[in-house]
Amino acid sequence: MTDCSNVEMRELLPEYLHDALGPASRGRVEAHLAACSPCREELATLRLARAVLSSERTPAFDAAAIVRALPRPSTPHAVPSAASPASSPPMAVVRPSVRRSSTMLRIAAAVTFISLGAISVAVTRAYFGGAPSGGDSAIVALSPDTPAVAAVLPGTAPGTGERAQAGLTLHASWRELDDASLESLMGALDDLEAAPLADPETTPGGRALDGALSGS
Amino acid sequence: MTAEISPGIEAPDGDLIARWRAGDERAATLLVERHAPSVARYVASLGGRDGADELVQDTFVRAFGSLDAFRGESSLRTWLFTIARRLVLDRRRARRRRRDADELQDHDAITEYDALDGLLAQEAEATMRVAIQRLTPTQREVFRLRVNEGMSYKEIADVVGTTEGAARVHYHNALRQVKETLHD
Repeated sequence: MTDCSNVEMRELLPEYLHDALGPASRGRVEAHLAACSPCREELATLRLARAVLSSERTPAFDAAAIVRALPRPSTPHAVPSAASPASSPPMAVVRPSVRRSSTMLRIAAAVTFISLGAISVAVTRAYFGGAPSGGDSAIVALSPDTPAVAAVLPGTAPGTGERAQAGLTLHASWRELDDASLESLMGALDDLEAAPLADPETTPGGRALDGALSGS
Repeated sequence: MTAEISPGIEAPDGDLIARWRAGDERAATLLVERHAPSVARYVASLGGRDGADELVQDTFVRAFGSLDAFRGESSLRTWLFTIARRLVLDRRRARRRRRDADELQDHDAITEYDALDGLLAQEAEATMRVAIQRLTPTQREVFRLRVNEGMSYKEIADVVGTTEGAARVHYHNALRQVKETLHD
């Protein structure tokens, strides 16, 4: 038997089968069925198919176990006022994720701030030379290889000076300097004020200190 | 469904979800009792009869675990079917990776029909089972969702992951083939 040419009516048959049509559409379909043998046969086919499919064994499941396994709602939400689910879906409440986003932003800002601070300290140290290892360190211009340094800093042999680095270096034994040496050193440091500190070995201040220490 | 089964059984899914979010565990029970049977049958039809209870439970756990992602644009049933289908396919892929047979769906369907053949009293129903069994897996899935679950083409497209037009074509091809088998 050929199919009915009324596509609209044929498309409505599954909904008619499930009683999902409004009164008007249902009336139209029933009127059409009364006059259309192919559609009556198609509806019978659909009804048989549904009966067969519905009669299949439903696999066993434990509804209580499913409910027990469900995640608990983190924060109970107030039940919204009576409204259709489509117009006001209760699932639209997303406050927990907003709160999570705010916390993550704060953490990210703190990490960024700390990172910038650390980078600033590192750049400053790289620019001005080695960092003091403690409050008792002395600042000595010139390389530790300089004999004058060894003379001023007792116990520091040339080439083996503590924290030996080119440029400004620190030494923990400044307390052992006598008054004259300290005075001479401070005077030399005063002359260094205008010297660029990034390259102390070649600065005039550095040479002046060298000369001052050597001449003392 | 009838109202005398349980108070609130006729409440819309959205209302029950809201009640569950407010701490009403009974609402979750109603939702599970309402949708689990059809989800279980759908899982079985896709070849997931073995371990269907686990798949059904996983479906609900995932659905309830991500309710914030569910905006209500589709029905809860469509959403559950979509999740269930994904779980079945994931499990099938995992089995395929273990070099299991790739005929899981047809194998399970045949087993199911064989097991039920003895219960069939009418020849028409037996013929219909054969007709449905002859459909391609996609045709069978779409035909089932349309005829047995009463889903629209839009809902079927959402579940299967295709277009409404493709769902319509699969349905009509399936219906035509079923008719041909019945008239053979």
